[in-house]
Amino acid sequence: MSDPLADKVLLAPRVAPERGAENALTRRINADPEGVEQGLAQLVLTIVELLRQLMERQALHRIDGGGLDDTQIERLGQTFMMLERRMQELKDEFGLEDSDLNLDLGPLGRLL
Amino acid sequence: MICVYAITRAPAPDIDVHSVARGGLAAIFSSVEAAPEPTPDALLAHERVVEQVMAVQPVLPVQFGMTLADEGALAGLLDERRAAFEESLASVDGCVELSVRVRWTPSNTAATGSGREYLADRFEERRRADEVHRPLAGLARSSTSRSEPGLLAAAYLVPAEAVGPFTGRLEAIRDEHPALDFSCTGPWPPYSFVGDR
Repeated sequence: MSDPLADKVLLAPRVAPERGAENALTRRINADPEGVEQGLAQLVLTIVELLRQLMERQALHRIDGGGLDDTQIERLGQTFMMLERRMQELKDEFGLEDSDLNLDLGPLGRLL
Repeated sequence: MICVYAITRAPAPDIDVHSVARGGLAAIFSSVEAAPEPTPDALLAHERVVEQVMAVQPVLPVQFGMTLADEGALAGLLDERRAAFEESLASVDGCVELSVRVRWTPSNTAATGSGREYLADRFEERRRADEVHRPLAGLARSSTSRSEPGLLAAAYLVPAEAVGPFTGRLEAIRDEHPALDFSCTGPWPPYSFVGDR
């Protein structure tokens, strides 16, 4: 089957992207009784991931501005590294992918 | 129930859809039984309608699936949001959206366990994304981007006549960065630049 959007490709990737469109269209927080725990985890982890990214950005700004000494930088780096690792463990535990940790805010676009 | 495709300046008589016009603004819609399901075919059909309108005049594409009770409600929306719609139409006039995605293998020296190295990686990631995004943003009227380790996803609002120079610049950037995998799609309606419709 030919791709109806082939005429939209101005520069093709060397590696074909994974086809996630179907999933993206149907993504909702899962709230049925069996899936409620996972749905809640998805929501909570999405918020945590948002905060993690904001804090990491803030930390990079501060380091860039020269406001931190070596010990502080090392400790910050350790903290973010552990946080990222822990996030990965939680995602694995609840069977979530990076792409699940996002919310469609309708007219506002995507959260992350 | 009606399903809305786009807000624009004048009715689109050449297309098989309905229009409602209110003094310098128009909305393109069709009648539906129920809110449409987001199947690939339905999305493509929606996209094609918006593009047909875009071919002749500036559009504010409406996100797929927006429904209103009837034509009167739509006319009311045009009246109520007139200033915002006119401003948005002026901001996208003559422009199309180009989408750029860049992938690479994220650097991962964090395996050494050093916090400093970990942050250095994050710096490196941002530098990479910036090296691609900055020069392209310079060619665009407006731009939006997000990046995560190994990915830059950006959209650029580019004057229609500047699409060629834009993709030319992108190809030049690609040639300078053999380790990065680029893709670019478009021209699209300005989905990423219509604010809160």
